[in-house]
Amino acid sequence: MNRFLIYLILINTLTNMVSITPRILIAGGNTGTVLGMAFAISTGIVLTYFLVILFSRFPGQGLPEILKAYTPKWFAVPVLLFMAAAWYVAGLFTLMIYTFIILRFLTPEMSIYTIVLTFALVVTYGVLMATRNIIYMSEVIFILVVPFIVFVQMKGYLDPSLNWDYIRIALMQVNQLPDYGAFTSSLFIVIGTANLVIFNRAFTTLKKPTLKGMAILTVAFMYILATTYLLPIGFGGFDSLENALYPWIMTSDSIRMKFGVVERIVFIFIGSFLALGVVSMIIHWHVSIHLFSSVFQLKRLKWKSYNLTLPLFIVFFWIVAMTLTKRMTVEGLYRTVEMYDDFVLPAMLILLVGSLLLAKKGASSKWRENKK
Amino acid sequence: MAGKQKMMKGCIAFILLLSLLFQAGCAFKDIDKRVFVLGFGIDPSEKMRNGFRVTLKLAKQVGDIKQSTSPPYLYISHDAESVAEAIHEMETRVDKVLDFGHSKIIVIHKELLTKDLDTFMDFFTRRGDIQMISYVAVADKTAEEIISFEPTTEAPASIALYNYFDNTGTESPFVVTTFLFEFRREVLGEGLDTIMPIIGTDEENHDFVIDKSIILKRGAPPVELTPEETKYFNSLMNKAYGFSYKIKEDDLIMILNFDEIRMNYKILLNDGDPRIDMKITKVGVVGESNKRLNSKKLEKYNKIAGKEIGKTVTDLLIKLQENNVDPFGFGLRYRATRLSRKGLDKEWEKRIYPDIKFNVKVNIELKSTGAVE
Repeated sequence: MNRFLIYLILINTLTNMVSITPRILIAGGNTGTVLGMAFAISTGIVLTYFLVILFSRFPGQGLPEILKAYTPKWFAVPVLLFMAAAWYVAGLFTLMIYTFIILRFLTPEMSIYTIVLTFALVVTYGVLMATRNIIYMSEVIFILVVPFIVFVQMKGYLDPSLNWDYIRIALMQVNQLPDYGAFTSSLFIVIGTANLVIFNRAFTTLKKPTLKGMAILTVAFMYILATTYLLPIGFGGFDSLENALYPWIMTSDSIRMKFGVVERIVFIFIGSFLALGVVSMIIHWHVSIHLFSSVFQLKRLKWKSYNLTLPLFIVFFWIVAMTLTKRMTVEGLYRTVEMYDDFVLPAMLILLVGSLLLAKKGASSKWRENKK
Repeated sequence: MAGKQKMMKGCIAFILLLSLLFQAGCAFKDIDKRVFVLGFGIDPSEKMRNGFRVTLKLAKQVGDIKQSTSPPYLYISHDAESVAEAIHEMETRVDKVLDFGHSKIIVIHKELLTKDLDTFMDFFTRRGDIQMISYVAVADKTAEEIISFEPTTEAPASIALYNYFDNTGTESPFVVTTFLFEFRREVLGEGLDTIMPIIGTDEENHDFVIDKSIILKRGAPPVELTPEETKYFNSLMNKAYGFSYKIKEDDLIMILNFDEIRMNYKILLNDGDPRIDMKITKVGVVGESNKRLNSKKLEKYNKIAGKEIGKTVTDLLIKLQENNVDPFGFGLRYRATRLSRKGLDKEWEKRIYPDIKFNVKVNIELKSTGAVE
């Protein structure tokens, strides 16, 4: 398995640690989050396996090329549009939640437009990079940032104030029926492979999933999901976290670094996650913009010899992000993410696997025709 | 095409750099426009019914500590119906922005513990800039007195009160430390009751005295622990060691110093009477004795000490049980070791805990009699 693919998957997994996901998991705490997470991990691993196999049949091709070649147009266009929107919204959620976090914890006096614009500018630069370069960039940032995150988590696990009894209470909910919300939001965490819809273009020789790769992913998923859910409970209590809006920020603020450069570890933590968040946004919006431009390619819109379709989409992205972030409340965002996870995500995954199977069938029949 | 794209990217990079110019006047206020809050004290208000009197300890800006002529701290108090209101009204009394990010202690008046805690503790957990690792403590007299007290050992530009709790200065088993996040999880949750230090001052008003603690259970009167009980609790729960334990047997008096304490317990419900089996291991040396001791008789001293300490711990556990508080978190452990079902915590609190027996086994391992026999 390609190591870049693993970065792609894990960045998606890690970024969601501080976002809305822990809140959804904790909200389902009394109604079977544990089983929901367990199902999500197994589903995620199985889906990852099949997606990698399916995409490796079309080396170097993204979903637009695959669909255009092997499926009818009336099928390809709506599917691509739906996916493009889904990816855009996923990136938008990250943008919004990080904007809110910055506004609440780092610079309460700063204008919300400035924050969104700063994000948008940095992200735009990333989005317009070549697919291959984004993959390299994710590796660099992943390697730079993950040690800090692991350090904070280890610090948390070894803290004497962490009460393991709360964690055990959370695990003892294993006899509850699985919670659908917890299942889908955990599924979102572990389904970073779906980014292959565009990033497959960069993997010209995508190898088959190996046992080693799948094992690494399984362990990583289990560790990250368990940490996302359980560490906040160990620090914040089982019954008392339900009304916390940012459980993970609260948790990282509860970890004390006695002799550190700063005693409050929360700033290191937010900083590291901002870096990851920006990469995740770049990945999502990169996928989205290329899906959009595969449907609409305005041939006439040219400035000298440069096609302006992509910049046009970017401006459109900015405007939507700006207006929505300004209007959205934290509660509204929470509800929207919940709905997205519950309905859009399963639909998207089914559509993705379905269309790939269809394309595979189309490919094999075309191949047979050619042979005749 | 490739060249154009490169140029385009160059342009974007340039615009990005250019936009840094707008960032120069940052949203932060400069440090000389800020005054740092170092601690909060909350009392019930005498002027207002159901109101609060909030006292802030502020650090003044001085260029050079050695040359400053006045004390570096400033205290302001205000009465209002809620903590947030009091603080907002205080903002009109200082010429700078109140910065809460550096505050590390919240002192509460004892009377407030029986009131609805939500109304005033809400402010601290709601604000993003107040540290969750702030210490929460209870004042022996009034919170205002404690927060504005300057003990003789306090050096200029340092805060003596922090040193008691942060385990970098004094480390005493008499001092329990409660962080704000612990306070929040234990007050709002079921199964473990919060224990908080009580801060007092000595009679001559020279120094702080922090050796007692108070256990808070929502909807019940708080229970105070004596210094001795605090020490035993702290050594078991937080593995605080480094102080001496006095053992008396006939006319032999020994002071033991422990440097390793381990404790675990099991809740046994189906094996005879419901009981909690607690196993304590303490490793240490003899620190002082009124008689000559025999190194070969360490076994015997171990037994004597074990019996004595076991009795004290059992007394403490029974006192807690009689007052129906549970700072050890037995109820939490009960829930943590059973598959979830409705009313598990109530079951423990109402039915099991009041009648449960304690079976304390203490295993003392004295390594030597010190440097002399």
